[in-house]
Amino acid sequence: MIITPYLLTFLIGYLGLKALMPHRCFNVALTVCLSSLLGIAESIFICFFGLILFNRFHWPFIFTMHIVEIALLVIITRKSLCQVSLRKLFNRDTLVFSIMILFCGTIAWLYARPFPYGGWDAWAIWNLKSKFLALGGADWKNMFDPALICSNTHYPFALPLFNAWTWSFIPGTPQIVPLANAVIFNMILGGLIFGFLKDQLNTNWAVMPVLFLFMIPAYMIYLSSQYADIFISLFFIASLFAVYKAHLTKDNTLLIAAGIFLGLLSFIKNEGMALAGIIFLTSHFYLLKRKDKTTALKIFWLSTVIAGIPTLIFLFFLKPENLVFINGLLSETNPTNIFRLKNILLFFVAEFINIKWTFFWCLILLIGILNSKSLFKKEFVIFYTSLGCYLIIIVLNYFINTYYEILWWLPSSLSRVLGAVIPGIIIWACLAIFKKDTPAE
Amino acid sequence: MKIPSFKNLWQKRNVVITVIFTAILAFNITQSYSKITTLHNKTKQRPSYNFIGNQFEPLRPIFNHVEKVGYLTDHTLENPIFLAHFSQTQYTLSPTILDLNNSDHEFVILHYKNQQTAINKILSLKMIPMTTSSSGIILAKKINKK
Repeated sequence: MIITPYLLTFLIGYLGLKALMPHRCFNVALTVCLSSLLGIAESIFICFFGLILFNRFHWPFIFTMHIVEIALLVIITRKSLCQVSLRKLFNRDTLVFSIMILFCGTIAWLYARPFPYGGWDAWAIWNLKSKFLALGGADWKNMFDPALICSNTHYPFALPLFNAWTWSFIPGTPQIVPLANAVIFNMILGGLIFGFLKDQLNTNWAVMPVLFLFMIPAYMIYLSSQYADIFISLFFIASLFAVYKAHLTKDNTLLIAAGIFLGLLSFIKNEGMALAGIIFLTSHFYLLKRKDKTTALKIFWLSTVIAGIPTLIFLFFLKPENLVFINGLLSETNPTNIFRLKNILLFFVAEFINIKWTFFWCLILLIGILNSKSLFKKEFVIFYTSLGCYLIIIVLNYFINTYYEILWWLPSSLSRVLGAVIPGIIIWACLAIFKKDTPAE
Repeated sequence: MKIPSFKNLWQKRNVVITVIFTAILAFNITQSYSKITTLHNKTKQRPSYNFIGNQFEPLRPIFNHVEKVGYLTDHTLENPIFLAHFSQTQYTLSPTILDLNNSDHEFVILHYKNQQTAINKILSLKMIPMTTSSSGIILAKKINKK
């Protein structure tokens, strides 16, 4: 029973991907990972609308909607489903991918198992909200109660909805489920990085960056802590991939996928909202250059707005007041100042050279110096503009919000915030170094 | 011996990056191995994971359909240990909300430095102690005035 929600989610995602792009043939890694992410996004949207309609986490409705959607998608995709050949699946690429995601899952499990309740934010924010959704019935909105000030009540709740969905078919709220979800997200992350690079570089050596990433102990501790940051990483690189690939292939169906990923990204947490906004804007560097820009823009805007409906409903009707925000620019009691900015910038430098990252940032700096020309090619505009804008927004957030003592806030959050975009940086660096100039498909 | 020109070296820059990448990867593999081993040795020494909130698991049935419970403490929550205590208790008992330092509820959890202080507090609030956890945290209930 425990695997039922995962199976339904994957099926919805796989069939959704087939329905969206019947003629596009991704590599196995991309097919599996994009299907999983599309499925996760669709399951979360169904859970959210169930919550709004019935004012409770109504799992019979959610289950029925999954079944109905699967049935509809099977009807829509029956032709392309008949063409799927299982024999084609058994090849070296599939073997490499399978070994790699098993490796990612094992490493994540080894890090996660000693801490079944995850890290601090897992029990104080994400899993706590999940329990309010799963057990709270009609009182689920109590998760916005000001008494829960330590739980960032103003955050959206995509991850808690997914946790609640995966708890649906078993009694209670066993801790093994969020733990398993964290491991599964790690496997998808490894697979997605591999799939993205394999798609662009056409080599199985694309496993090396994944191996590198999963061997950074500090990073793995964050990834396996049941936090929402890995969720941000997943939808961040999925939306980057969809926009970038849409640019290369001029395929508008990829823009629909990009819109769905961005919508979900904005529903994860505030950093996700900022990232989604940034990617949405920076995508226009590609879209405005296209000959069919009117159609492309319409499709992209429409899909993003539709997928962003949960975020809009949350922002306008559900979001409680942010109790942990003081505008330091206007506040007389907690004003921000130049020393705060100095501390922030110094801390960024200290973070980049911190030994816990085992020279990761130094390597990125070296790549930046030696390959600056290829890193900043127009083709990669979405990577450097989104990452640059994100960095600026993060610095501004630390600077303007003076609710927290900066010398406490930075050490307790910056690594996680930067960690969420590391997969994007790795993909960008690998593409810049190894991708040969090829004409667009 | 022919000294390679700067141009030649520049063309080989990605080889330099690959060599450094491999060296860091090798270093990281050893780091990961030692980190995972340390984590698992710690787990072996302390087999049951010390999640403070677990001691409240038996109280969950009492709080069925109870929206809020008071949580009184004389510990400062600026100390991460006591904040963890509070947060983990909140997690275990959710969807019941712990109302910090508010005794105006039917049930109140008291986490005091000294148990006698906690008992005096219970008496002053006209409550009765229901149960005590292994770490001395007391659950008290208001006396019905029937």
